[in-house]
Amino acid sequence: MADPILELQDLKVYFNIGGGFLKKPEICKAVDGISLKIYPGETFGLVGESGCGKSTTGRAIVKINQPTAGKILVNGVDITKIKGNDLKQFKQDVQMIFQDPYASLNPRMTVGEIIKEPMDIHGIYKTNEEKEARVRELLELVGLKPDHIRRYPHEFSGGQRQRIGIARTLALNPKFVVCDEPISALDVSIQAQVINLLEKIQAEMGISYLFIAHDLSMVKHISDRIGVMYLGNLVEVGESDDLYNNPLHPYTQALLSSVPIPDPKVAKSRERIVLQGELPSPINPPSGCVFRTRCPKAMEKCAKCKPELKEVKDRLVACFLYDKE
Amino acid sequence: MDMSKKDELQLTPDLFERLDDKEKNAEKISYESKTYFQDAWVRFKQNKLALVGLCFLAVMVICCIVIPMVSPYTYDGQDMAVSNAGMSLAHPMGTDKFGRDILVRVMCGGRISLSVGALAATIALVIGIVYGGIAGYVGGRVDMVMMRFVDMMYSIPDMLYIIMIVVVFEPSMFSILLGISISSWMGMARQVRAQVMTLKEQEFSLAAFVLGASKKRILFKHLIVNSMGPIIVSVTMLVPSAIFNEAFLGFLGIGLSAPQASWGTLANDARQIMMAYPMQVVWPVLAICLTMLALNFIGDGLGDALDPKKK
Amino acid sequence: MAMLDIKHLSTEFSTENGTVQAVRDVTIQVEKGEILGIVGESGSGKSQTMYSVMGLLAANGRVAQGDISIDGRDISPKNYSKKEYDDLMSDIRGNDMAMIFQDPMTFLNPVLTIEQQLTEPILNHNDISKEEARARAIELMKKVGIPSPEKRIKQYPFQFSGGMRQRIIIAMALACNPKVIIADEPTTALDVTIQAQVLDLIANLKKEIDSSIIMITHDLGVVASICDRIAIMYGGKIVEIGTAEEIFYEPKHPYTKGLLSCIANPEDKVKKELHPIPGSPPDLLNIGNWCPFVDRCEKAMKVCKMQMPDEKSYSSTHSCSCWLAHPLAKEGNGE
Repeated sequence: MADPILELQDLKVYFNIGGGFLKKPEICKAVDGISLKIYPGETFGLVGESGCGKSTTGRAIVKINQPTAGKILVNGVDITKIKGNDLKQFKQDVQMIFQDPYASLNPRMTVGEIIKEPMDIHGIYKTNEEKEARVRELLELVGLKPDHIRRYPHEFSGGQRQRIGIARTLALNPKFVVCDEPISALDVSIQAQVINLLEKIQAEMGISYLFIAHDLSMVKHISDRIGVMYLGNLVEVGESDDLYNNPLHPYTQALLSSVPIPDPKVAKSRERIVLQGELPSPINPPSGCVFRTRCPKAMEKCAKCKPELKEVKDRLVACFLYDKE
Repeated sequence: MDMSKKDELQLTPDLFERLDDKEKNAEKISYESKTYFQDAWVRFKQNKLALVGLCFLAVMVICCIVIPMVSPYTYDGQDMAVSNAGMSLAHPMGTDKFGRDILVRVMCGGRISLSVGALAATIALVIGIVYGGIAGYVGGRVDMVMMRFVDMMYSIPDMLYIIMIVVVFEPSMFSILLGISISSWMGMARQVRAQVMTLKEQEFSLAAFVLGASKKRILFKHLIVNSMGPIIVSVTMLVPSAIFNEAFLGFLGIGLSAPQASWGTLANDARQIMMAYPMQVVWPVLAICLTMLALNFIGDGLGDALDPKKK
Repeated sequence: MAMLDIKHLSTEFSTENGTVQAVRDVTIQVEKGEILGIVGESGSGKSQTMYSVMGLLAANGRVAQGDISIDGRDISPKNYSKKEYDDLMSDIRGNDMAMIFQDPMTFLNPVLTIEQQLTEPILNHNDISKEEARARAIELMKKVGIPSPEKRIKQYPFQFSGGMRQRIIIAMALACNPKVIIADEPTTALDVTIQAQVLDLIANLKKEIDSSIIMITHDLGVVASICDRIAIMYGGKIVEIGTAEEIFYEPKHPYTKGLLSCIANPEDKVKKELHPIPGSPPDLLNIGNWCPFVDRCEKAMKVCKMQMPDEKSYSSTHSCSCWLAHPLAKEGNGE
């Protein structure tokens, strides 16, 4: 197996909430120790519900959020503390696609200026003609007309704007792209356009994706492997089809049984695992296994110790149910 | 849309042939290309009061420049023979106690008052943008210290600054400008900071960061540029306030010295003989009030025109 | 007789760029006790259709034409003066007709307790005492599955999670035993597991109460799980309507087929290629009297850009508006 292009080692991202002059701030454990490896050319899907820490993880990788502990290795190099030219190279290699097509483009810049900006920042291409030629190339690659180059973002639809954002991301020829809910804000008929585009680009350019989303159906479609997060912890990692057909962790089972299926006969007849209780606060997570308060199979051990992510057959699961094996 | 009338369309087989892709408009763009400011100008024009204000201001500026140039009288030319005269064809606004033509004096005063207003607002704008921008973008402790400083300065009344500075540096254009700018940059800084703090969490700012843009680039090219709407409105409101402060100084007697005149000093000069010759006070006061009103309407109109949410 | 009867409803909005025809000649009936799903994307007119029925259009919107009646009672805006219509709708809303909106955070008043908000519709439309209203509110909270309602009724919205707040809103909607409940994307803002809980709740409630429910959404998975009939809207018109089975297993309209082939079904054993629908949702400012889907339809014909297609019925429940159904069309509909 080739070396991973991205590796997270026990990554922790904690935030201080509140706190004032005399009051100590509370600590929100948004990401509480996750480890995973992503290989070149692969799409790794990261799923979970609100508050699970998936977006925070993505943002920590591109250095928007600072990790509190742990390592982020890109091609073997820990990027948490890099500076100068190394940092510049990192920014060319690792990029991000954002969720909101209406907020991720500067409304005062033309489409051409938006896509050209990364080239200006990194000094790629010397002349303006070269840069403009590349911008037109990228616009065509994402399925837009090159003569839209002088238009402003507000003249485009959501799906078109998202494609402009993708073109901007590709300007630097990145090797790894974090896709933070790239289709959640788009209409259903447009989502497939963007998904197909991302797959096409991956096939042509060999980019690896970390695909963060809450729409499990789309994640399963595009990802090679999927990681499931709950309250800042990775509870299960496995191949997409495998994970879907045979989820091992009780949370994964409950999550997958809640996914709406666009097929009336199947939807009305299937068994749903309904989770009791409510999502605990990440400021005060439960002791031991964070899922134990809602787990239908919780045992005494679950309150005392935190299960580690261990290999079970071809899967990684963090659950004491599989400990004996 | 009239649903009752059905077009008499003869349905022939050729109509059921495939439609050419060229005749479809799948990826067309619906709006014509208009920048934010062009769009704002269209909306501004629809506000009648704002347009009136703009016209008045334009007329006032032109008069202040042109009238002293074409008038046979100068601002300091005395003619005791016609002192304290009323309105006439030769002197449309009358003359003061030294026989000087009031119209020319009001227009010259306008040159001073308006330039003080514009310059003070510009200086406050520049200081405010840099100070507020840095505080808002850097955040954390730097922001806290910078803003506490602003809080302290804010708690002292404007006039106190202005009077102190003018008195210390002796009344002159420089000291008056200095005083007024120093008293008005804080509000601008606060506003810019608030705008920058909101915008820096927006995805396009984060995108610029992820692309590797430097802090300076993000601050000026992305954050400040997108804050220009509310900032422009604030600047427009700074101008009448500066004009008023300058006039007030003149009225207090610590404005520019005679025979130089600003609207405030003109009003002050005429104050003593107000009972006998009220119009001498009225003209400069009218100039101040109408200009301030016009600027307020413009500011209001700009606020509505530049507000992106109203689209 | 249908519980909610809408005939030839057209709604338009006047904007500075022109008139937007958001809803165009929509005719639909909702039977007693059924759950009708209305599926569409941005610009389809699905929400504005129901806002027109509820009398909740924005200031620049107006119902250009249409006959609307609820349980036989006429509520068409054109038949009343503005004041009469406002009074009529104040009486109907919350009472005969209830609405559940998308965002539970903004729907609830943050400074009022749940008790105040739940008892408000009950007291408005019924002549009962405060204690009786309170008792009824607690009953409702139990019905929608909120634990310890006697204690929690005194709490404020911020003390509840998103899923719980949506249940409170459902309780408010049920407060006066409405004849019709209109749910506008009620689960879109919720997590998947919470969405499943709320959909189960709605499905279970249907067995107990006999309200008709209209479910507006863009999510085909959601309508598949609880809806009896589904209407597909595009560009302000209903392009196809049928039972859930008819729509999913025998779709007739190219848009319906397009939607079904561009979503991922996780149950598929083999990875299926997603066939996106090219283009973007239509511009409702410049829309003509022809099929709104023509610019994105792979099977578009010349006639599609000239005139609106007629509605063809395939069964007592299934109908579709498409020129492909015309005998002169070269390819039939079922290929």
